[in-house]
Amino acid sequence: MSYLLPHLNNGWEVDQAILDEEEKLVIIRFGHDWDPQCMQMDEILYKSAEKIKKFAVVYLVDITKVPDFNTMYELYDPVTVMFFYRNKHMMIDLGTGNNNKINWAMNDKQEFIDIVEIIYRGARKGKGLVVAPKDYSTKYKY
Amino acid sequence: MFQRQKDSGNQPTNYVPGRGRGAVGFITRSDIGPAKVDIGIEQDDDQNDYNDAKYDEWNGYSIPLFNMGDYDDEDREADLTYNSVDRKMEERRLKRMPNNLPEKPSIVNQFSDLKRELAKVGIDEWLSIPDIGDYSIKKKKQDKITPVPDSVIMSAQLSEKNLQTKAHDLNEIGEARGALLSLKLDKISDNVSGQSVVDKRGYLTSLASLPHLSENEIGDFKKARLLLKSVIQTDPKNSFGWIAAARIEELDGKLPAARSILAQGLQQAEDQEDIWIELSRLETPEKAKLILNKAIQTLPHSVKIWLNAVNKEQETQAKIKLLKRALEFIPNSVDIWKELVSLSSEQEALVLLYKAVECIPKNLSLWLALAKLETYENAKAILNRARQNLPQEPTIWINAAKLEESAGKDKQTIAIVLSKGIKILKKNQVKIVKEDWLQEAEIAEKCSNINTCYAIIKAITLEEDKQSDNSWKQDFTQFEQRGSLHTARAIIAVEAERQNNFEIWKEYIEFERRHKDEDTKYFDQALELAVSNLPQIEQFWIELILRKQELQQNYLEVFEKSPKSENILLTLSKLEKQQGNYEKAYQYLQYIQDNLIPSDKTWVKMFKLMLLMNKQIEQAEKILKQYPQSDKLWILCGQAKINQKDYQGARQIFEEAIKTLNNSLNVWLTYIKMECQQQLYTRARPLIDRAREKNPKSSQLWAQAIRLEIDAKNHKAAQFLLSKALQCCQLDGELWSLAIELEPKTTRKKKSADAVTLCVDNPFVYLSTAKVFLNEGKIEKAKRWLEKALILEPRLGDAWAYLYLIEKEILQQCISRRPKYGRLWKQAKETLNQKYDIEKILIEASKLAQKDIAKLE
Repeated sequence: MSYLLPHLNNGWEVDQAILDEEEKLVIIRFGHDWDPQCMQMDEILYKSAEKIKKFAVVYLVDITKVPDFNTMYELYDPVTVMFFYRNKHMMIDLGTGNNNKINWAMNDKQEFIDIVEIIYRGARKGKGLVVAPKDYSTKYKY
Repeated sequence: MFQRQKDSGNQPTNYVPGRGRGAVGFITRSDIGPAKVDIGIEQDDDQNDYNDAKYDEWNGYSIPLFNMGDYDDEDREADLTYNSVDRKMEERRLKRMPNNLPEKPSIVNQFSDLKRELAKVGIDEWLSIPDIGDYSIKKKKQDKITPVPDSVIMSAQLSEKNLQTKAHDLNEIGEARGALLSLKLDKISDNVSGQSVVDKRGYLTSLASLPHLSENEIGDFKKARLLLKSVIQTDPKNSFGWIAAARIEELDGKLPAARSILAQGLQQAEDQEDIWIELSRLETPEKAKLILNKAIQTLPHSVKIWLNAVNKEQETQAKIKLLKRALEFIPNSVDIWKELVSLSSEQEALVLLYKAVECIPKNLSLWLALAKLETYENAKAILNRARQNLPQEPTIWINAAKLEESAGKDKQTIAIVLSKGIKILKKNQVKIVKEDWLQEAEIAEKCSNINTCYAIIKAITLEEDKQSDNSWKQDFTQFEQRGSLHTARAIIAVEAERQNNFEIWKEYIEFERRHKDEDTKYFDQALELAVSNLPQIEQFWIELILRKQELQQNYLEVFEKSPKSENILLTLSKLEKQQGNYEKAYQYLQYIQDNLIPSDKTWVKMFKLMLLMNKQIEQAEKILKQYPQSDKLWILCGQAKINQKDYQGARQIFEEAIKTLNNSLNVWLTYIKMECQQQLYTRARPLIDRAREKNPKSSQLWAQAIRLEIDAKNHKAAQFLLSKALQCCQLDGELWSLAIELEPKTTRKKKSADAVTLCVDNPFVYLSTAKVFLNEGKIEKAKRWLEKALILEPRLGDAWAYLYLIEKEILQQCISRRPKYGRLWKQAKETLNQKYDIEKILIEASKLAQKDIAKLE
């Protein structure tokens, strides 16, 4: 479903996308369109994009085409989803130990929407770290 | 779908993404990649650690001091030079190492120098190297020793017997034993003969048995010969030594040697009859005769030799001759007399026996043999004479009793003879032991002297103390179990006569009933005796009447003799009724009414009879008032009203009955049935409800209710009632059989299987299963189920009716079983107004059964 979501083709565009958004949460998926796990995540993203469009926007970034953030954000997983609000990197406690991002493909649309909503609420209140509604520590192994 | 709305121009040159917007990265996991971020802050050029600890006086700081300059050509040249020097030095070092060893030297390499030495070792030295032996645990476990089974040893012995290896061992054992014996024997021979301590005879028998022990001891013959020789030397007058020696020779197959030993023995001990006989045994028949002749001449008084000589003779005449000669020498030998008598004809035997009795008056068997051969009168005289000679012998008396019996005397007189005998025996100080006499009685029974058997028991019982009451019972059961029926019978008969009470007579009759199959005569006898001894007990009279009826004899004679009690009269009337003589039966009942005070039982019978005869019951109300607690009477009255089609009257009677009896299931059932028969289901249903209220657990009521619904073609209600009923009475066969019949055809078989497993051995369930099979046309299977049901309940009329549908031959069998139960059976009875004509009822019931099967469809 990646073709239905907007892609960002260079570092500038990524930065601008994050900077330009005044009111909404910016959700960026780093990965490859051809990666099966990415595909799974893109499916979820596409499905939820319509529902969360009032408070969040979704972009996709190819980490081979745009390698600028790989070191900075440790983009070594097949799929990584990160959240930004008013140029602030939003952190989220998923119980996995890595609060910076979601680095696995989710399989439930509603779960994702819930996470986004919680992050948005926290961001509005000026928080930098929010706690996810569900603990993913046992489900995903590292 | 989603497009970026804003585009803030193109990317400026030298733009660093991320940093351009002021983003800072993070380091979470340094292990997966360089997460170092160049944040662009200017750092001090000299970041090196100039710690004192790292200072070396010669080298200075370990950190290269001049690494800030560019790497130029000069440096490269210097590096190359240094590297080449290093390489050279390395080569030199390697050369100095002894013949460049491989990294992991193999064992072969390690010991190669030692191996070279082995070339010098010679063959002798090689051979003298000791084996190392295997001390590992594994090997040891395998070497565990298990004992060889005995069977293997035995078979090995058998196969190797000829090889003498085992025999050799046994020989050694035998020799050891022999040595011991000879030691003892020598000691004995040192002693003066006759004063020895050793028991010579026992010792010899043990020796005699020695050669027989096994074939392996053939080797012992020599030893045995030696031993026997010494025995003979110590006591030459003893025949045992000689015979044993001869036997050993015989065993060894040396007959001439054996004979010569015996001949020697005869020279030494002429008077030993055993040696003579032994010799004759070993000789050929002709020579044997000669030898025995000689023996007779030397020992004319030896019975043994005479008898042996007789045995050697072939012809009877020669034998008789020889025996007679023998008697000249020995007139008082019982054996010779007996032999002679058994050989001669009857006439001669008689004469001979008379003589024998004169010669040996104290021998019982001769007397008895004589008595047996003589006529009755003479035998009596002979037994009397025998008695005088042998006053303490009870056998004579028993023989006398047998004699009396053979003369046709009845058992009472024999008993008198015997009791006289017992008295006389007592006078002669003979102890009378009851057990012995009972034994005698049993023997007499075995010889089919039944009267004697009875007489013995009678005599001995009369002789006994009257007090010992229960000992007879023990004897009685014991003899019955042993199958000595006559003895047992005699015991109980005598006892019954003596004690004359109800229990013992009853037991007597029961005993006879048990053994009726063997001889019915005694059963009749017992009954007659019981009646004559205890005429006041009506039970015996009834038994007798039934028995007479069974034998199709005239029982009226019995009736004449019997006390005219109610029960006897009822039995008689029942018998008449069964034969269809209703008038006569009625007369008997009338007789009770006229002469005795009739109980409700009589009235029930009376009413039933009247119903059968279609007579009006006039006194019903009066009698009901007299016996208000008899539900049968109420039902019969109701039935009478139904027969007259006076249903209103019947209802009144039933209602009244329910009121007075409070709760009688039979009345309820009859009442409900009446309403059902008239198809007044609306009346019947509340009745059932009322009845069930009082008898909530009654399966009969449930079944009746279900049948009602079936008859009313109200299938749903029937199913509903059935499920309720099965909840209430889970294990009732009748309800289950209804359940099977109500089930639709497809699931019926499964239901019947359920029912059979739940209600184990219930004839109703089996009957329904049979019905299911009949409906499907599986006649063989149906027959099997019906037979099963009949084994469980042979009086189930319905099963007979169904069986009659399949097979007409069962009629006789059915009549003999006198069926009684079953719904269809009862219905058939009622429609026919018949009670005892089983054939008609069976046919009617089978018609109903046919309809019933058709209903199942």
